[in-house]
Amino acid sequence: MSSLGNLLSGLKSFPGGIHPPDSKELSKSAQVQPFLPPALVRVLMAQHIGAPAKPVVKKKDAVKRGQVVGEAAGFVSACVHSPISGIVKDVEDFPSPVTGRPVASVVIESDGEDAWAEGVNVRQDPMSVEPKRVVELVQKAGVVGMGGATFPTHVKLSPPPNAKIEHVIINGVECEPYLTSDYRLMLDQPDRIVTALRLIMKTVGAPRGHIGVEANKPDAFQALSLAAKGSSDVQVHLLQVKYPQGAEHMLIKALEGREIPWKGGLPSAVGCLVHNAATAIAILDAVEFQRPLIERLVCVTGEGVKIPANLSVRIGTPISAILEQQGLHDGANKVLFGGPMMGLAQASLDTPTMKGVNGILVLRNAARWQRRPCIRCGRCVDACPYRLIPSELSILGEREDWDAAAVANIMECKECGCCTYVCPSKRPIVQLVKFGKSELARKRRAQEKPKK
Amino acid sequence: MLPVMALSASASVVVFATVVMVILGLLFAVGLALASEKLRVERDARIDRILGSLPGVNCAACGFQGCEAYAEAVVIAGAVTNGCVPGGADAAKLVAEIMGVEFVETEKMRAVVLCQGGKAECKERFQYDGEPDCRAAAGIMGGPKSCAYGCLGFGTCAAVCPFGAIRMGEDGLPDIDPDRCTACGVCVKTCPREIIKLLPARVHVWVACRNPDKGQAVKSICSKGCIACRLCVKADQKNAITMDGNLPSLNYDAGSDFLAAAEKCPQGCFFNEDTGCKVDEATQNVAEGLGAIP
Repeated sequence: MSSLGNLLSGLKSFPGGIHPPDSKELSKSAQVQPFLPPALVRVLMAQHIGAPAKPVVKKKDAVKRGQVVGEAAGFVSACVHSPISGIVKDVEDFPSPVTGRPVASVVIESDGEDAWAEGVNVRQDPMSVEPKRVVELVQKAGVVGMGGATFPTHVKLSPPPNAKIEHVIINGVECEPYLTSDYRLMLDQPDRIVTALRLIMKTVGAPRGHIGVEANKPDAFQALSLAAKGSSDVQVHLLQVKYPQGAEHMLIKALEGREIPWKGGLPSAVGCLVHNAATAIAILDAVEFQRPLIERLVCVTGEGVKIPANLSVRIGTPISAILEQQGLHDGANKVLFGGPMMGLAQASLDTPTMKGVNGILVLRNAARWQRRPCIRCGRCVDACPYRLIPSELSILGEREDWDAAAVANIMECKECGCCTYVCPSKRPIVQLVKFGKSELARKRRAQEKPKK
Repeated sequence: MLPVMALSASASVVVFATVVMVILGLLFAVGLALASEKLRVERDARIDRILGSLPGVNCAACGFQGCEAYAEAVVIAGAVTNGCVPGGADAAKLVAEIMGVEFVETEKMRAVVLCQGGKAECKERFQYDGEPDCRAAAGIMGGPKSCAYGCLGFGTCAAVCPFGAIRMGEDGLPDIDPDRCTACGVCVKTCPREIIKLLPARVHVWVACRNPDKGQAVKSICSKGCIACRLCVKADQKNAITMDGNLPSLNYDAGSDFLAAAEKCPQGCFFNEDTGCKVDEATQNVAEGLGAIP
């Protein structure tokens, strides 16, 4: 939908943002296919924000599917499970697909039986489970935010006692171009998404539930509306097509008109709680079947892939196994975890998939832009959904004046990349901001050190 | 008649404007002179004298914000008089004289690079398209170099050096001019890989590798990395080399010149400043009559 069409539609949205070509036609009609468990998986211990899990298995240990292989190291952490049954081949460090720094990983060789561990995959009625027990089960299942942020879900389900959650929002926006995994999930399991929403509402004591879907997925909207038909507590909303509407700040602004305060404010500060559609299903799986998060939908797409697909992939499957099956075109030269806007380029095809990887995007003939000086056109200022002045941040970045950038609220940037997308001078604005944030963090660490 | 009148009119305007500007200028001058007397802040004259004897590059190697902050700290807070690193003995002597204390000599230091894994020796793992800055590159998947501890080669150290002592060589590694280097330590603080270190100027041989991994892992990614074979430990006559994990640690106070150990190193990890290259290449130069570079 064009931006003019958006305006005339009268649909809800937020100020700012951009309209990149959504490119979802490549994979949107591909039905979900299971990807056969590979012979070898590598399960990383740091698949979430917070302390990495501690490996609890040794070399040559036999593990079953769904067995804990990494124990959560603290409250803001998540446990990690074996996605297949087999033998632990090694426990070794592997470069993290997010930071590149080595993290512990467990390599498991399949025995081909794919046998479940005891105590998992047992059905119970999810709505009869006590809220406290729900949080416990979710924590045990190692569920994290599956939209990409990978924040441990049990932490979000236990809001601080002084925060009153009124609205639970299921994020079915999927605003990143190319990706269609959440879309297929909403088409396949609309009833379970509504059930999961009711379960989350009951757990945090929220009276109202919402599901936000963008206007480029009308069939998903219809399916969800049908599932929620006749209920007064759950509402399904059709939203304008705009990036980054899937960011929780933007989704809350679009649906409730509320703004999360700066300086590290959380959605709970405005009485909201946002969960991605895939996370909602994982929560329901954890409670209904006591099934840990060991498998997820991954959208394999991009101009570089021969057969774009939506696959149900065991976590820990190497990229190379998936791309071998789907085939690569000549000139495919960049592989990202996630979409083109916020996705992370990968350095090696041996890298395994993780809980937060909703897509594997293969670009063809991806090129580098020639940077030019800022012409002060202000397009980035219009586009920035967080109301920052990206042009100023980029100029301060080139001067490495990070203290001034901190005053200009560089830390409030969520790195959505709208500024860089619209910049006619092709300036690497968001790259400079990321660099600045890491330099400021480094400086803060250096200042804290001598005090200890 | 008319043009002349116009001319005289414009001439009078010019004269009038000049007179007004001169009077205004005088008034402001007197005002400023009075204000500077009236509002004068007493300041120890030694601060300005010390400031004049410092190099004035504000490198902050002394631990203070800049040269002026250091000068004030010496006079007001009694900071050490030999704190200025780039100024060295000359500045320390002057500062000690101004403060009327005894001059204490500090050892002359200079920065050295602890990596020889250039473009030819250590390959890149992937093509990096981001900001051409080592600190930014190090944050993307750990940087494009195969070695997670080696020089990334984008020349951030050369860009930040306040003395222009660092230049990026063709091999993708920085060359530090020991004469220009004042050991201010700005490059040491900037390098994300921490491969620039300050060593005493009397030291001429050091181990130019910081990869603490096992030998096999190092050998597979870099042709000039330390493989922890311990031959240098055995070769050194004065037992000045010990193993610290998988890397040798040199004791510069034991009186060894480390030349024997350097010769034994199969990977050529020892960097000899007097030759600017691997020790056996230097001996070859001598054999060919080219002589060692002084």
